[in-house]
Amino acid sequence: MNDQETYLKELNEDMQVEKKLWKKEILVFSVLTALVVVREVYLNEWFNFGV
Amino acid sequence: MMTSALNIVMVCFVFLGCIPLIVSLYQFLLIGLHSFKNHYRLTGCHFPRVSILVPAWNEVNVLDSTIESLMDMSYPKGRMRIYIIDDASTDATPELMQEKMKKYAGNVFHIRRHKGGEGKAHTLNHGINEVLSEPWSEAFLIMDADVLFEKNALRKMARHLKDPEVGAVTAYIKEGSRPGILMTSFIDFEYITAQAASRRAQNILAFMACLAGGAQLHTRENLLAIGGRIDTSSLAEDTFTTFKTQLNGRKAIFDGNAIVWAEEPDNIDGLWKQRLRWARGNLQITKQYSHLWLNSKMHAHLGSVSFSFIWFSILLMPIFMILASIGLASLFFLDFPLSWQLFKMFWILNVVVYVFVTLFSFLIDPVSARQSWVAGIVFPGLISLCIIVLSYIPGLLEFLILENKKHQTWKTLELTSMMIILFMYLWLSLSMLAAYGAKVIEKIRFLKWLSKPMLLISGYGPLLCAITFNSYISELRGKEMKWDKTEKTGKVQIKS
Repeated sequence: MNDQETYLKELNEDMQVEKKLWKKEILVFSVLTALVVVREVYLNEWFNFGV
Repeated sequence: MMTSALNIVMVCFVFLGCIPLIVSLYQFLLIGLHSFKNHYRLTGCHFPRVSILVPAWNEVNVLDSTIESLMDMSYPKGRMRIYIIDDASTDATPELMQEKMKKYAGNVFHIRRHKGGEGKAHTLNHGINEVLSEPWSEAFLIMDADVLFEKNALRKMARHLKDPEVGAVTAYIKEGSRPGILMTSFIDFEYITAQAASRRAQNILAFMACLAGGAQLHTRENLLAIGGRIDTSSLAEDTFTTFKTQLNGRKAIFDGNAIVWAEEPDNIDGLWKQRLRWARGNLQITKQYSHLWLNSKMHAHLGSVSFSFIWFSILLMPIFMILASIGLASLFFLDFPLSWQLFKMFWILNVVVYVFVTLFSFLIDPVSARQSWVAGIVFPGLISLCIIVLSYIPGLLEFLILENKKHQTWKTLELTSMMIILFMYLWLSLSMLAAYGAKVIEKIRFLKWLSKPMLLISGYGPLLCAITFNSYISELRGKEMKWDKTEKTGKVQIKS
């Protein structure tokens, strides 16, 4: 593989890593949203501390 | 009237405590945009002639593997030269260099100072003076003697220099000590948040707070434009270089896929010395560039609100934490229900930021996260973690501490409840004190074993805050600027 091909291969791999970032962010958002829903909907019911 | 004015001031104090959390969340929210806005599109297949400058003072333990890792890089050998700038080492560095120069003739060079001990910046300048006087170098890689480069790291950094607007590029430095222990795991996780995450956010915002001193690649033009030398007036020469690069109108870029490995301190005392130097350097920079802050006329990006917020949220974090504690504790006596509401609000925000930052960091660098996930979870400390969990479950704090009673004033509280609440209100400050205590007892032979549990309880984050606080004191006292060299033993390994 010549330098140009290696460069393009590495660039492509790194771009893929970067492209995944927004998907990972959405995943973290989803987990956070799920935690909020669990807190507000389920935990309030499960742990009835009488508040 | 007087009381309500005081209440407002105390509420403001608590809100100030939220600033570091909000800034942290802001940076992490930006990272997703790096998928769409990054510098990769402006790169090209580019191999400038690179002079690699390695300042070294008694680094014989690590130099062998460093030189081997550099020579093992997939960078054209005819286009790289390694200069070991020996700061009058008294160990076997000269002998090792004789051997390496013979083995890699034309690639490895030994520049020796006969009088040393002035620190990294002076040593680097000695080397830069010599190397810059020859026209051969098109770029300069400034690094630390213990840093090991992955095979493609320099190639990946150099591709950004194809863009003529780029002045300097930095790599992602990872903690590479093997076997890993608690302290190195904390640093491992910290570097995901502070480099892989935060510096990507800074790429988005078109500024860079600091090019990592262990791996920064400069174009010849940039090095000449910043004066052809490294700043020696402060303890944070790498941050000065970063600022000067950008103030001269050139870009400073972080490449999170160019990976290098470094050996970091494995005990609290070593970390304290290293970070105290960094924190004092940052204070010196803050003072020197006082005209830059919030001054977008001076520089569109470094003078932006975003940069000032990020910079000062770290620099002033101990003050924010202390003010938040004072605010909550004062409101406890002035207006207890309000203090309780603010306390819960503060910790709910903490829950959100903690989950977001920790989880996202694990996903940004899953390889490092596999080694440091426990450190990531206990990063804020066990007590803070307990408050985070208790805050997450609705009504639990009221149930456990207030026994579900409505208290209009602190006077109706049980003594135990009162003590617990005040402790939690003050914990933001006390955690720094506890972290300092962990540092102190680490030096006491028969109490040394307590140091790690104490660090776990107080947290690594508060330890960094305590160091920053120490830097205020050192700067106020005008303490001598001493270059405390971090001890390197050569236990770093490239892990991929």
